[in-house]
Amino acid sequence: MRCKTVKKLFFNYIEDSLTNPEKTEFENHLNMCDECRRELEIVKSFYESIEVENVKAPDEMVLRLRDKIEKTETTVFDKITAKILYPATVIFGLTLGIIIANLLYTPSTYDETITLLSNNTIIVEPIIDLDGEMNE
Amino acid sequence: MSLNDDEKNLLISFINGDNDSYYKIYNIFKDRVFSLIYGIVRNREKTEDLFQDVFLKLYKNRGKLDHERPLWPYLRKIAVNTTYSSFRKWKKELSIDDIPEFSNNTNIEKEYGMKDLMNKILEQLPINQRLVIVLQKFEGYKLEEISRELGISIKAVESLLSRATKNIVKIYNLIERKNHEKRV
Repeated sequence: MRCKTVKKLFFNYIEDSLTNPEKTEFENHLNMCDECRRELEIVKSFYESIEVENVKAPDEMVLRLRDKIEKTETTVFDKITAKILYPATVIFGLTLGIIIANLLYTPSTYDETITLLSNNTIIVEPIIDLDGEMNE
Repeated sequence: MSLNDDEKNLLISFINGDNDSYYKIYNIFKDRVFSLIYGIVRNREKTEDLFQDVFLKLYKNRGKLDHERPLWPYLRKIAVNTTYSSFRKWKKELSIDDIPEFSNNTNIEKEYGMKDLMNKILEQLPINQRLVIVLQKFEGYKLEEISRELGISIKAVESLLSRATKNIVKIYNLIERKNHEKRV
């Protein structure tokens, strides 16, 4: 085994996850190589010494979380509103407007047209002659 | 692993939309999640942000939960992935200026205490390397499990550990050199 390979296997050696032949080769190399032996000692001390503290979550985190959840739910509601309710309201309003407009204005316009036609008061005159000049 | 009836009922209520059950689950796991993230990140402010993201994801993904399975592995997976994603592109250049000052003592381990010294070295490692070491040592993960959890190949995990090894030795040597320069 060469130094490069041995150094890659430091953690496997410390965790005892090398196969027996690997372990033998690894240890043979260590017996001959001062540098690898020294570096393994450093990494081994590191691995044995590091620790993870038991840190408590601060009490106010739950309030921040509640706040965030409320905002998320509001955002979801807003998105639904923006995507579905607003266009639906606009379409409904327009449709209602058209229906009301038809109910209010169409009959009277129709009546007026009938009246005008029946009184023969409509004179159809060409507004523009064939040469495109405006008639008086 | 089987769940006891209390846990199972709590999970079922939570899955069915009961917010009180969510906050009960929060109280059961909050310190465990916080410690895990802090162990990797080693920065309180960043830990708080990630911690909040983890529990928010749990809340949003309640529909995907299985009440027959224990919650901790799922929650731990979210915590690990959230932390890993957050720092994936984060690379820290090692610099002698980052290394803490020492007095003129000839033995840096005596001076600092081995634990303090090594924990300071851990803090100097890039976060993805720190993450792999913490998962292996404190959560008992095997390389295959880390690879599965992070969605990277086993080769990539091995490469992270190999780079961590180089960095640990490099930082240790930097500390020693710095200490030596001060003595001269």
